[in-house]
This record gives sequence, structure tokens and C-alpha cells, in this order.
Amino acid sequence: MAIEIDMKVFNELLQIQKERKLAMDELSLTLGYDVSFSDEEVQQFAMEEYEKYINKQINEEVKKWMKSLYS
Amino acid sequence: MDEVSLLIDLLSNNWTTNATALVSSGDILPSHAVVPDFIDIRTTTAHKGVRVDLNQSPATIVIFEDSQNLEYPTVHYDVRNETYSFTLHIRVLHDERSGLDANYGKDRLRAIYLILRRALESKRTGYTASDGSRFQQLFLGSRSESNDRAKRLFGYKVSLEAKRFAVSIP
Repeated sequence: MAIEIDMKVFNELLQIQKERKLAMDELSLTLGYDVSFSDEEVQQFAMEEYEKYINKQINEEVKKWMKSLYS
Repeated sequence: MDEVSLLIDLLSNNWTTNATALVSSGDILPSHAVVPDFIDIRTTTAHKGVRVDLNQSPATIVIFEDSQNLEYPTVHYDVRNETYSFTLHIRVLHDERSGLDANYGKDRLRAIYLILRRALESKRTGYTASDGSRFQQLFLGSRSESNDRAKRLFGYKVSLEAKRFAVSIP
């Protein structure tokens, strides 16, 4: 079993979402109304991305198992 | 043109047609068949340059490119398959334009999403821009809500995948 719960990856994804929040803050200033992300949304989006990452890892691992089972 | 610009081109050129079709079929109200601001997050400073009048900006769709993946599927590596992932954030303000309509923001958000989905699905087998830039497949993915009650802001986060196949390598 090679699936790791790697918090480094989560922290990277969180950082990406924080940068997006900064970009949305800047955009809000340009637009003149606030479309920026809340702190909860930043966390939620990072969690969603992490979920995708874990799902991808599980898929890859299961494929390896299936290959080894039938080879 | 680059991929985000191509996506904006696709949406802005196909928005009105799809909005009209959804109004005709009774899926959305005519008052919500509006054209949102399509914003490439990389070019925010160039976007209009001045503060936008709220009445002229009924909604925004902000586009982020998440990733690009390249594959070389042949033995000789002479062609390339490209896969792009995007995140689209639809943001709608429930502001003074709502009047007495308590569902204004929710209905506007739903309408914008339905038009977006129809526009993208209508081009699921490909879209070519005026300069020849092309996506060959489009797959609309998951949708999650992102509302901010304090700001009276309604939103959807939508994922999209676009593909190009067999791009020849010189």
C-alpha cells in the first residue's frame, strides 16, 4: 500500500488557494465590488483539491493491484 | 490565443444564443438572461481599468487555469495530446437590484450556471476561435457551492477539462 496522507501536499494546495484569494482581492478593487473568497472558502477549495489528489492516488494504486493480480 | 482567452472567446461568442434558448424553453427568466463579465484572473489590471457600475455588471465568471498535461502517445513522439483543467468561479451579488425578490441572487446564479453549462455542452465536440485556436473536446465537471452570506454573495465553483489531440510537433 503506497498511499500517503501527505500534509505537505495539502499545504501547497492551500497556498495556491491563498494566492487565488489575493488575486480575487485585487480583482475586487478593480471591479468596485467584493467578489473575493472568504477564509472558509479558501479552506474548502483546498480540501476539494486535496480530495481529488487522494482519489487520484487511490485510483493509481488500485490499477497497480489489478495489474499485479492478473499478470 | 492562449487557453484561458480561448475559453473566454467561446463563452462570450456563444452566451447570448444559449441564454435565448433557455429563456424560450422556460428554464430561466428573461430578467436573468444577462451577459456576465468574463474575467481572466491574470489580466485584472487591464480589465476596464475603472470601477464597474453595479447595474452593468450583473455577475462575474472568473477563470483560473489549474493545470496542463501533455502526453506523447506515439513511438516517435511526433504528436502531442494536451489536457487543460480550469476552475470557473461564478459570483453573483444579491444587491439592491433584487428589490423585494428574496430569491434574486439564487435565481440569477442558477440562470448563469445553466447558460454556462449549455454553452459548454453545445461545444463539447470542439470550438475553433477566429485565429484558429481550438479545443477538440470539452468536459464540464463537478460543481460546488461557495456562498458568503455576510457579503450577500452567491457562487458556484465549476471545473472544466479541455482537450486537444494529435497536435503535430515540428
